[in-house]
Amino acid sequence: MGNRMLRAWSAAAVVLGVAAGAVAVTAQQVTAPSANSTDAAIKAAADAARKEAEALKNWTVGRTAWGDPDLRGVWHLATYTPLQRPVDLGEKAFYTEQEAVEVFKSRVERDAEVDPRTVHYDWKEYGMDGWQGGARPNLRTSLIAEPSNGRLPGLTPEAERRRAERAEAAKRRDPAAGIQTFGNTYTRCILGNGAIPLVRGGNPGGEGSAAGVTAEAQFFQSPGYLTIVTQSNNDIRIIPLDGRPHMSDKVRQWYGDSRGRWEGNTLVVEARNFNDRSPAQNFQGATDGLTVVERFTRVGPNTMRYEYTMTDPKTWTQPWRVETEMPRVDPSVIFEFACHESNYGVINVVRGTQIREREAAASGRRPARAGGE
Amino acid sequence: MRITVRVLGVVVALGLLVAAVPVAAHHSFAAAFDENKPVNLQGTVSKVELVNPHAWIWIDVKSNDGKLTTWGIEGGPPTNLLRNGITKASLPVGSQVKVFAYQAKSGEPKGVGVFVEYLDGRKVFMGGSAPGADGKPAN
Repeated sequence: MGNRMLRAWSAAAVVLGVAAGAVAVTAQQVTAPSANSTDAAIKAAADAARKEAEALKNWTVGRTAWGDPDLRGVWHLATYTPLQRPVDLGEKAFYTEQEAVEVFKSRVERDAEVDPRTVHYDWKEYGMDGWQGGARPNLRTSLIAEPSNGRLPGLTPEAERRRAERAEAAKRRDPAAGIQTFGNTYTRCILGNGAIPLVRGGNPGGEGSAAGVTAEAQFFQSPGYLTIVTQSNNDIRIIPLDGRPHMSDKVRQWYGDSRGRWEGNTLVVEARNFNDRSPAQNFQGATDGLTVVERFTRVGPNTMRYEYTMTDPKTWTQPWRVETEMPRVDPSVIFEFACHESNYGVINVVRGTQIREREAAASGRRPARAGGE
Repeated sequence: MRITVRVLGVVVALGLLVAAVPVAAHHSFAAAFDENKPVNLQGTVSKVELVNPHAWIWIDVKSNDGKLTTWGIEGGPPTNLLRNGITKASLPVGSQVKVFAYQAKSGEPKGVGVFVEYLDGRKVFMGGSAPGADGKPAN
């Protein structure tokens, strides 16, 4: 795969972006543009990209004191590249550089289109757009590299049936009703967004929230372990690398049970023993039959190649594989995720929901649907 | 959306949001806050809580009759702000700010802050830096 091409292209994309005068290509190491200057952001990104391209020429991965390849740092999980390839692109796995810049620009603009009339804060006001957070352009047309059409494989009959039942249940249930307002594992402070797999794809497709919000993960290494702490929910995965076997499959965990091993400079991590999260779901509707194999390879001072393969015989007719990159984030800070302690949102949502239910009952209507993601 | 009401204190502008289409949010803004209660606030910052998943800014607002009310304003997470060089020092306690927000459905003095700006019109955080956006609300 053309990782060299991708890296070489990063600098070119920035130059093109500057030439176009329109795209804030925040490439390579995430930099700190001044708050109100897009031009400064572009220049800073271009400088960082050139520096990164230069640094890659004779770059080899550093080692920890005990000799493992050094994967430490805070890595950015946001991307504008969608998980699945737009159908009209067929087997076209890569854009040309010019196409990629145009696509990136259109997605940046779409990201910035949060309607100030909605009951929501303005994303760009809080630096939440993906480009503000450091999402990079990508020659890939989709995160999915296999199957070759860049699309999720077909569902098994069992998964088709589950999907139909879920859709039917959703019709019967009103998400604004009572505790169902907190009907998923994120709003219940159980799971963060994207702890495994770490990168899930950006817009289009209504997944804009995947682009830039709390999308960081810090990697710690110690002899025999990799530990990943995600910004979202401060979730922690402690991954043994000492060859010990997996836990009994009777032990089920939200993030499964991970075991890692080195293949050259690549850390390969296999996770299984996932919970059945019903009524919430594992990623893309996977079941407790899911196995995720992740491959982490540091290919530059500020770039981690990240690949993963999802296998679940209860859900898909074949495995599917993603290839992407994670830029390093600097400054590298994981803030406290005060999901309960300072989450005034719980009280506000419950009170608001109760009032809406009373209003609906008084008027004989069903309550208005509320967002629950 | 027309933000035409600019007076001291709290102005609850009802019925201006006929065309509003809520976007999918990562938690239930639509349940907690009222699309029919946009508010323009002006006041003094009394506390800033920069925590995940939502920052909260507390401001003391004097209404037209002189009564002081503390409003809580929900905003985005602090991580991206920090990466772009914005810290608590960017919004010190005692700052005078204007906030455009939607009030809590409960009617309490809380809201989701669409944007926060200083009295001279400068945005407190990022607004205006997005490509193709001038950081101003649509007319």
